[in-house]
Amino acid sequence: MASTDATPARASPVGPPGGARWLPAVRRLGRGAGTVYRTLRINPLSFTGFVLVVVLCAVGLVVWLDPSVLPYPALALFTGPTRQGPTWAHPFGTDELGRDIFSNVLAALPTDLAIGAMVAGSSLLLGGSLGVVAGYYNRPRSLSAVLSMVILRVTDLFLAFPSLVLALAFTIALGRGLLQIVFAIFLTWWPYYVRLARGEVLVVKNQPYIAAARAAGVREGRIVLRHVLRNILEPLLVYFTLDIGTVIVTFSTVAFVTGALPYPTTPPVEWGAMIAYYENFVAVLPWTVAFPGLAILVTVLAFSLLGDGLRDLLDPRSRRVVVQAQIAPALRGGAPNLPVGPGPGEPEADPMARVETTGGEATT
Amino acid sequence: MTEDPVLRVEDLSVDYVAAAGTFHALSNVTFEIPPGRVVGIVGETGCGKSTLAHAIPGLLPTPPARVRSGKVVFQGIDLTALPRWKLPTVRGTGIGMVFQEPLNSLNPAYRVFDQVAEAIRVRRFRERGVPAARADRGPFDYSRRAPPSASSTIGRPFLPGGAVEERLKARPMTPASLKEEVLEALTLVRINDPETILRLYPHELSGGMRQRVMIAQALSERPALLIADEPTSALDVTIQAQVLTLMKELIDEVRTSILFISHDLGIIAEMADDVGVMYAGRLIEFGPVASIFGRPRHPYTRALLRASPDRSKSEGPLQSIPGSVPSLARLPAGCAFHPRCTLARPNCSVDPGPPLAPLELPGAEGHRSACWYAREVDA
Amino acid sequence: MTASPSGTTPLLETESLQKWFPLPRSGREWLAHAPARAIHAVDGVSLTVDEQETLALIGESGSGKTTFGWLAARLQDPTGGTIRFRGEDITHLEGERLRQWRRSVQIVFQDPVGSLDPRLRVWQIVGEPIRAQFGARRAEVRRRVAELLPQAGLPPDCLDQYPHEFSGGGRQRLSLARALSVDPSLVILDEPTSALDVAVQAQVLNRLVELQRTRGLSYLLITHNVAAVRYAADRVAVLYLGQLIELGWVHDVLGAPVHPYTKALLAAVPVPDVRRRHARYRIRGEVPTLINPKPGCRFAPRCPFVEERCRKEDPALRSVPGFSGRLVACHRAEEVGSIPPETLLATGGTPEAAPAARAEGVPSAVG
Repeated sequence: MASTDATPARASPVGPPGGARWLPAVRRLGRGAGTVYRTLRINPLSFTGFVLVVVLCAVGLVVWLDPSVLPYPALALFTGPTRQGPTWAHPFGTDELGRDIFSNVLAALPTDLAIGAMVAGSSLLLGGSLGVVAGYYNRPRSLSAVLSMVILRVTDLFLAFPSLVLALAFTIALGRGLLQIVFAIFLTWWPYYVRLARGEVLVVKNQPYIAAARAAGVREGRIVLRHVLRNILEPLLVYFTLDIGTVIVTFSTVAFVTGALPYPTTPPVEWGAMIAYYENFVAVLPWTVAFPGLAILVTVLAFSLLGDGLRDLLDPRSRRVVVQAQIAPALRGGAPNLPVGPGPGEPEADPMARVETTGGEATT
Repeated sequence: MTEDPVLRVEDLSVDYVAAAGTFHALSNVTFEIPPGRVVGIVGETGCGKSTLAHAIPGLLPTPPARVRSGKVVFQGIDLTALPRWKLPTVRGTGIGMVFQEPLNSLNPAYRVFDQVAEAIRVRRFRERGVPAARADRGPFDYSRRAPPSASSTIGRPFLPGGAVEERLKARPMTPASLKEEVLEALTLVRINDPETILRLYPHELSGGMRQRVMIAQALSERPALLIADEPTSALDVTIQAQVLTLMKELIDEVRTSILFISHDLGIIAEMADDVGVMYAGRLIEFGPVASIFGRPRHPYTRALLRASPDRSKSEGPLQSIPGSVPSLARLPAGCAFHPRCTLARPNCSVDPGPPLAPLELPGAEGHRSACWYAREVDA
Repeated sequence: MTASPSGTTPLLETESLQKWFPLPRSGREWLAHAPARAIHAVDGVSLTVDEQETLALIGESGSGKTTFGWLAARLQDPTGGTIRFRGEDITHLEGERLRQWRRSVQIVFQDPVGSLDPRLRVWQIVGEPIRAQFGARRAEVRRRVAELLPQAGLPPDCLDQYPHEFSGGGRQRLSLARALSVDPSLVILDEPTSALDVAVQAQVLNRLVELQRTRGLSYLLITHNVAAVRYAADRVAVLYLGQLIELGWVHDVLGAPVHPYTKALLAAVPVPDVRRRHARYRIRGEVPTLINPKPGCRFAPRCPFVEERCRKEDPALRSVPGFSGRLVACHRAEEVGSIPPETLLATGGTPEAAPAARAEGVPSAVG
């Protein structure tokens, strides 16, 4: 990924001096982040998603670290007049006991983000690794094949029920409380990652470069880590990003339906629980329901937009295939024996940059 | 030539406009195809031959492609000046195409019958001026409940005048006659047992058979020009030989003009009457096949011919062309081939070379070369 | 055992090597107790590759040549037969010993795009065997790769580029550099030039031959490109439907093919020579299925010289009088062998064109 700035690694082909080994890694990281930014920048929608996610996460972090930034403490009673619509003092209005909706919605932000990240993250870890095992180790008539079979059948068992119904059932069985709901959703969530990871592994496994690594004498464990994981990671991460929003919606739904969260008596504050409680006042105090609902909408939308953008960004094929296949040879142009990319010191012909920009134009 | 050419490409230049720069995929290509002749275009990957094949019937996606200059005159009509919506009728009626990968070019959802029948309907419509895909089962019409209207299948302005009753009368399109014609087309391409093949889907056919269906489809439109873009590159050698033989026989039977595009010098030598050699988006040499292969008049053609392995390793290394094909975004100044040319003189790096001009040489009638030193290139 | 032309222990030797891919039985077949079906991809191939020799394996798709290469590289396990390397049986080598054996045999894959991990950089791809075999560290790997790249015809400063930044020829060179990185004795080249243009193909072939000379390599060259075989190979083996049908020195086989299929294959190759435009010998039909082939010569359904015996008995690989150093699997090799392919003219090209002629029993390709 030659970028417009000087690439230090190319200047010294043999390697960096032993002293600053972390330096190229940091540079690479910076360049990677730069590429993400530049690519997302092309598509205004995914860029909006990116900005929204960054803002949401930053606000969530601040609120979580220092709750005193909230205009009023969460769940505090009689912060102002009761049953009041949006005003400058209370942008989202107040409820029947004078709780400030704006503060409560903000206070719920870190909770909901953490729930999304926790459920999707742990599903990614568990489901992803089970999927890799089930996809990669299935030589006929071996112990690993039996293991893969067991994993897949258990997965099917979970997938046989609608996940929301299953999550509700688990929540009722596990009892009230935030962690209980999180665990219930997690139980219904990981099988999707098994399926996804297994499908990706099955594709990657049959790529010639896996055979090439085997022919080179690379050990199986290393093939899985270096080639398989690396090539399936990106689709999984895209799904993970899209999934955070879905988890938040599911959590709010479960919280709404079961009333398993204690709002408004004790923390944690959560959007779904807020809606469940204020639903009783929806006719007289509509803002109490509208704003938590809006918060869910914005968060989910932000993650979906970002996920779609990431999908375009991370798929090297969609990145590389500039336009239709028929003109690709013409673009590739030449240099049958040399890299098509520019030699050092030809900044304008950065192959990656070319691809990014044209890719954006071609897709819009 | 006393007859008017079927196709005349005049000074055609096509660019691909990308953010990193403009790729000159075709630069000032000029040639013509007389009726009944096979013109072969040969060149390496990325020389623009596929762009040419798609540019002639206006199949290039625009953007990123852009016709910078030139005309494509097909039977007296300049296709580049036609509005976009008229192009489908020209393609379906006057120009047939055979592509490299028949599995991708045949619609996997339809049986062979439907693929060929569609082409026949298009032709009947052209010949009669009557919408064909109306009464009988067709690719768009399995339910029969909502047959596509004539104006949606083919452009409305091409409908002839007259009352609806009149048009309906002029439509003796029975399913039986259609099937007969499909069978005829399949028999034409030497398919044994066409009755069975009719009912198969493209994926159930072998590569050679698919390519035959593709040819049958293209020819049943009875095109004045057939563009074959690497039609046998995906096939095995013995199957390729069969398809090439078939095409050679069909040239005599159907008498259509063919633009045959290939990277394989051997196939071009076997199929073409006239040969054009392309390099970096330019047509650098054009002439009768015997003349091009017997006595090339451009250093690139000569180098290409000599690069084919013709000896064993004990007889020394193969002659390859030094350097590499230039990127179409950064073509060298002057003649595009000069950095790799053994005959290059100082002016070659400045002067873009002569236009493809006829050589005033005995025994080289119709042979044109875009090299100042064409006379010094010896075979 | 196949005769090794030099009489010494061959570098690689296969004896009646077999690879069958079993097909799952459908429910109906299972109920009907139908016999298990399998694709006979490689069906009893015995070959040798000598030290510093290039053996070319030619055939069309479905001939089993690529599967044979994978078997010889021990990337797939054979169904039957043995593979010996320097006289040692390696057919069932496993685990660490197999991993270390891979040092001596490397493979260059057919697909120059797919065989390079798109997410790794050049030094990681080319250096992978070095790392895996010798456990070299990053700096050491980079140093060795930088030395190696010029040998394969690549600039040494492209260490940190990604494979998609290279053209087809460049990627094929990367594959080659990777194969050479552990200094193997045998390199299996699976269609090394099929994705390349003719000028680039010449560069790659020259490079291969030069490397063979300087490093004393042996090649197993798997290809359908007859011109490349003519240039690079010493001996040539022709495969058809998983079986070896002709074996001999490259000039003998390409100059005077004996087996009718070899004749057809060579005649089908388009030659950039306008004078040879019309004299052609074509065989009819397409390559039949490999699923549970019937006994008898596998070329019989397409062969213009077919007789009753061909449909019943498997022809054995045998030497033919008048063709020294040649092994041919054809019942009628003596009669057919001396007919030059040029005299076998096509009867209307594809024989399907002349159903009437076939109905009358006229041999379709004897001109």
